[in-house]
Amino acid sequence: MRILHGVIEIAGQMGTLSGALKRRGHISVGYNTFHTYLGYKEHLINTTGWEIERVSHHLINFFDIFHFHYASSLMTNYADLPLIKSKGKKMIMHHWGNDVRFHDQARVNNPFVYTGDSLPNEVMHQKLASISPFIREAIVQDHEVLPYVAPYYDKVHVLPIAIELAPFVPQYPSVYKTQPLILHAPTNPAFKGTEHVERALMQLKNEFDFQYRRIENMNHAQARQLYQEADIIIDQILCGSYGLLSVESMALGKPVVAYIREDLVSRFPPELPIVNANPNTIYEQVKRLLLQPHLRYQLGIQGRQYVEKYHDSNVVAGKLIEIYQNLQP
Amino acid sequence: MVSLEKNMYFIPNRCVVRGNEMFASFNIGPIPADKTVLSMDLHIPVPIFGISIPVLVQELAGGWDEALMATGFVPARGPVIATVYTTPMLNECSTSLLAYEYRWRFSSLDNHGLVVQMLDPYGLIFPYDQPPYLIVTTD
Repeated sequence: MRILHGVIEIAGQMGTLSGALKRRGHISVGYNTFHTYLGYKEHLINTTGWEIERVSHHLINFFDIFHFHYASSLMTNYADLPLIKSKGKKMIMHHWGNDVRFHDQARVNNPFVYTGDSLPNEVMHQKLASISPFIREAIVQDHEVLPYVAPYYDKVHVLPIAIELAPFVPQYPSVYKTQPLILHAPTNPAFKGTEHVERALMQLKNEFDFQYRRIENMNHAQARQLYQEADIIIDQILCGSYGLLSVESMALGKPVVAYIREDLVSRFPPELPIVNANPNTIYEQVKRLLLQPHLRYQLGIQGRQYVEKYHDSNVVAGKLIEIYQNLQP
Repeated sequence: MVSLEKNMYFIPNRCVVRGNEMFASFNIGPIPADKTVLSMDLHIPVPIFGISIPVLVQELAGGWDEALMATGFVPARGPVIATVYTTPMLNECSTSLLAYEYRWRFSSLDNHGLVVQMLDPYGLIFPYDQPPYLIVTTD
């Protein structure tokens, strides 16, 4: 199969999925127009929206499957979608959260969620209404995102975040460490609840001896080097589900703190070892980890096992290929 | 299963088919700067035919774009890169362009692309909706 991923790279996923698809003998290219300090480049062609639109007719001719991300497509106003459809090619839309998180709907089950990065409801609705006449199936990473898009598509697949495991050699936290290192890496502090995290850590500093480091504005490869040194990693505590940082941290064998919305806990595999914390409970949950070095170690082991089973890009690619094969043009 | 993990695929940023001639250029600037290119092969779609036919691959020496070509413009030609012979009953042939990797990657103003021409007496033409592509293998 010839697969195009495009055009907005979120959490390195277009590149990761393309790499895994290529390992299975498929031609896959990620065209990325969203450039950030994170510096994603593996299995990607970093380009511009203008250039993509200019060569879109060649892309439409060459590729068989169009896997779009974050409510994007090749041309402005989704002008490419009817062209792709008329050529009998397959399309699927992969939604990642902030592209579809309707503000009021998000707050129904989650009083903590920050939706400031999402467009106004009417804009998101208009985009989905423009996409869905041509793209009838979608992919989301979990059941937190699924309800926002379910009304617009015939079918929504849940496909876990993918990670290439080879670069992530687990370094489990030492039970003998007397000054554990806590890391928090907010690409967007408002979205992740950084204020609440740091308030809790300031309180804990009065009782415990630990180091804290906040990682920001660092490219992804550099940040990964620092994660290896951590004893505890705190991800977002507002959104209600876990993202790439949690997955990478578990892959490194670190205990992870994140908020999993109560009604979503049962939608994940039961062995998910994330320490569940929201702004009201973050203090107690981190305290528990500081008090129990053996628990930190055990959660690290469980996290690595969990990622190998559910998030390995080779496992995810297998499921993705099945989705592609069953897609209707 | 053959892993294609180390391959990068490039579609033309300009491509025009005129019967038995195909004009194309590729922007390979997006290859990450820290990667070493080990091979760069041009894959040319050809009509399936019962006998082997020669295909001339030639450098272009002057600028052009798709809009200009629609007016009948003919870009200047440069040196011949290769003559490739198709395999009967296959829809693709290929040739190495590794010699052009450095110039196309780091001196893109000189990259006018190439022209591919079928040299046969049967009136074969290139498919208009199948662009050629580059496979670049890196370390």
